[in-house]
Amino acid sequence: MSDKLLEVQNLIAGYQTKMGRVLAVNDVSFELKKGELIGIAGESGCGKSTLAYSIMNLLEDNGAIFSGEINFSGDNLVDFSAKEIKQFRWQKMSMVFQSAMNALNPVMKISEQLIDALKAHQKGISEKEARKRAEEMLELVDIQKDRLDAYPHQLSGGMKQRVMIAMAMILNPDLVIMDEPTTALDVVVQRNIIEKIEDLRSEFNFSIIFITHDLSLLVEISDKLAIMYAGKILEIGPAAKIYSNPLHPYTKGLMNSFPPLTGEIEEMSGIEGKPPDLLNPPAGCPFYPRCEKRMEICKTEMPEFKELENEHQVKCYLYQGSDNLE
Amino acid sequence: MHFPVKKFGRKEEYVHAMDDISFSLYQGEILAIVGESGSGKTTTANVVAKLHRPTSGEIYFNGQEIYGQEVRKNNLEYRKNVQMIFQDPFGALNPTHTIRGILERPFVIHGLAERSELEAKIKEVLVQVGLEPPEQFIDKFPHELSGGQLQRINIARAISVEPVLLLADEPTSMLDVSIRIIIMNMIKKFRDRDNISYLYITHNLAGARYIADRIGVMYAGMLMELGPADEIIQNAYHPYTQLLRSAAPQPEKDFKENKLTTQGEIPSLVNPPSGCRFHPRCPKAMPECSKKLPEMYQINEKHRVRCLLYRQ
Repeated sequence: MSDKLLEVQNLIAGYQTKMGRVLAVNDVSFELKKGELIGIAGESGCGKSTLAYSIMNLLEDNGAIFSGEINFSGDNLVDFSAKEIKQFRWQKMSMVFQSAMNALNPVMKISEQLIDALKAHQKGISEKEARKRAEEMLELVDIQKDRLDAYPHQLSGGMKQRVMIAMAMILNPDLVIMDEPTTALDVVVQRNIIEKIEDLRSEFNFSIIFITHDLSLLVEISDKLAIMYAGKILEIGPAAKIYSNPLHPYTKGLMNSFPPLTGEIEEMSGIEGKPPDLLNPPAGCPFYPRCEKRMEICKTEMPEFKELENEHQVKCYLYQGSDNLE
Repeated sequence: MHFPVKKFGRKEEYVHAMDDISFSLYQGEILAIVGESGSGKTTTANVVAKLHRPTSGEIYFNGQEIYGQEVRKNNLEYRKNVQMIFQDPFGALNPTHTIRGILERPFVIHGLAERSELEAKIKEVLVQVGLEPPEQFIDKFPHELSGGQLQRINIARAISVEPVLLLADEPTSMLDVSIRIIIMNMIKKFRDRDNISYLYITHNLAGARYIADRIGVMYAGMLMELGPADEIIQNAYHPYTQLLRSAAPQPEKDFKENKLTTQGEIPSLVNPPSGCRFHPRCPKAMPECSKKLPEMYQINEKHRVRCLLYRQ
């Protein structure tokens, strides 16, 4: 298919530690179309950031991709040399980091930081052109261009995060990975940023991988939703479907962890227990110890994805046997 | 600008504002204070906890002024009656003490248990917060427990002295999403069982609606609206509450349906806007909003709003 931008296949990535290998991303596969927004939801430590850093090839020194493929419009990024990936990164795909407060260099003006990104990738661009482009980008994210020579500490948290978005988009990439871009912000500022991201996406038609633990936000903005737990995607499908008909017991538990703003207030339960230690992952389904509907087989075996409805897939033995839908 | 002095001045004014509207908390009630960061929610809790002394205004606890003679004579008793649960479960517990060491302190300080009873008391309170079997936890250090477990220890420490009022400052915001509801349910459980009152501070509107009987909305150091929880959410009067409401994620709606009507950010509290503090961002601002500070106007018996639109 020509409109497929990114295809991640059986990706296994993680960290080498003194106590052994931690597979933070364990057999993850998904596809992303041009202009599509995929939301990746999960709790802390479930591997969602490692997944982002793997795709960006930005894993720390003790981290590595152990196997799998990351196909980006025809190229397998896993095979790229360090030099090739340096060329590729930011030009074709870029990232908005979680803590804008720390991601910007505090002793450099934001103009220098924006122009730096341009100059690193577009050899021969003149200072004047670069500055003009930086100004345009700032205006795109609703920051007046006279703030271009401000230092990060002179901007509010929301503005810093918008500068990060401007920086991610300055080379017009096809894919922007956003790792909890609004988590540290207040609700109203968060809403502003999200609206801005949506406007930019419809204007420039880039794809987004949006990572957060805030499922209620994710359901609202995503086209496609993946639920991650202990390094694995347990359920994936169109966001509206997952919201209206969550299948995996973990997804159901997560949905039952966000009190609604409207309608009746019902007693909610959350999920007891805690995620497994990834140094010694359980043999079967990683959710087994916390699952209310566990069966004997789940202890030792992990099922494959089963497609139940259009593109709505789930990894759970409850749905393996027949084509029954609740 | 006399920055620090001004800042303290602000706090006075803010506490006075609370006094103005006779913000009261009933026995066994959960009152949620919501607002963005910098709106003064934590200061509210800290003032009630006697961590900051208000320069003007009065706070009555069981009919007694908390800086008055009666309470001052019995300060330890006030401390016992008013306990806190902090936001950061990792930072709130001494990392060099075991859970046993952390949980025996309140019993010893307030003289609530003999040495010989301590172990049994600690185990009992651990069971109450769902850390079972208690033997497994009592000799652990904080770093050996997860965030959710640590927050349970924090709650255990607070309820062990049988408080009357619990100040919970964003007790779930640093926890994993699947644990948050469990901690909230636990807070409700102790309210139902022991009739504890809570001042529950949060920035999460949906969470406030879930847990609280009443909600107070703060903005830039002032209380803007106060009323029954469901009424505040479903039928918000103040334009700021309406803004908060529309900014909260709503999965049941399509994203494009609700657009924000307001731009801008919380004003600096060193030099707050004149008149209503929300007027620079308010979509319904009238000329006089920048001149006159609105009072709390009564909408109905339980619901008050600080907005000139509702002046009788």
